[in-house]
Amino acid sequence: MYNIFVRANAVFFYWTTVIFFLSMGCSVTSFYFESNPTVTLQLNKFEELSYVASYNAENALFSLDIDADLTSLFNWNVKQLFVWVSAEYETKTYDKNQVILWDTIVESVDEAHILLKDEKLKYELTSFEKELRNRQINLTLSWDIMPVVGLLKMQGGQSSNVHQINMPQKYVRLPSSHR
Amino acid sequence: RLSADKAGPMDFVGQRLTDRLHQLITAIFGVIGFFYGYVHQRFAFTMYISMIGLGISALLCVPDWPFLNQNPLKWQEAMGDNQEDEDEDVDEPVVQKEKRSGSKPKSKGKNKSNNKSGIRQRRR
Repeated sequence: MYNIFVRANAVFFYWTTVIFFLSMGCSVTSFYFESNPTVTLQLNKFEELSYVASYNAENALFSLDIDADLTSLFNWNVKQLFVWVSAEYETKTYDKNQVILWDTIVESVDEAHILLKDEKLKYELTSFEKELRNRQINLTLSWDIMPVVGLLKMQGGQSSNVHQINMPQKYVRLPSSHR
Repeated sequence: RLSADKAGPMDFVGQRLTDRLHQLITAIFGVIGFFYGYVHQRFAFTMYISMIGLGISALLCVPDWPFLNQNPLKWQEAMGDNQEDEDEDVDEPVVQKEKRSGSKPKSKGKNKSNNKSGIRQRRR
């Protein structure tokens, strides 16, 4: 401690040691916590189901009403939530197909209640098997919690109520389609 | 330089004080921040409060404040150029080595007057 640089070094790195122990305490105290998120997903309007020749696949587009109350997921060890809507369906070739249609990042408790009407899909539902006609599709809202201190994929979950959509029997393009 | 009042930017009492003070301040603000952040469930509050502690301890402990230099070392007064004193013990180490070749010294630190190592001792 005889020199100003020695003292500055000591003060700063002692602080980082204190922060280390505080972070460990934060991680430990938030390991087990209960949450009750409530999610409602609904189809707002169906827009189109068509065949795209340029990449030889079927495309489905629609818009959703999303009502997700994720405020109970936040504790002091949550940096942000990654939330997405995924569609799951079965084809003749594969038992399980999952496609992410929409996602968002929730960074604080204030933004955690997602209330969206007529939200267009961010990503189109594209199927290369071309078996989407007359297919039943299950929509689920899921989330990943990114902690402040901890492993990245520590906690995740999904909505318990699954919304079902039935694809039309023939290709259709409604005037509400935004493409 | 040896006869100056303040030998350096901070004396040993000040160094010990800064060492303990910065640790105490940072630790206390860390604990306060931990509980405040836990109550409000926001780790950002913990970080901010601990950074306030860092700032206060840096302010009090890092710069060379005069209040930390209040106990300077009391150096001895400089000796004058006395030829007798300097040449006094020069011959002794050579003579003493021949005597002590086989025997071990009995007590190492007890007799200060019997100085066989060649360190010059100043007579008061």
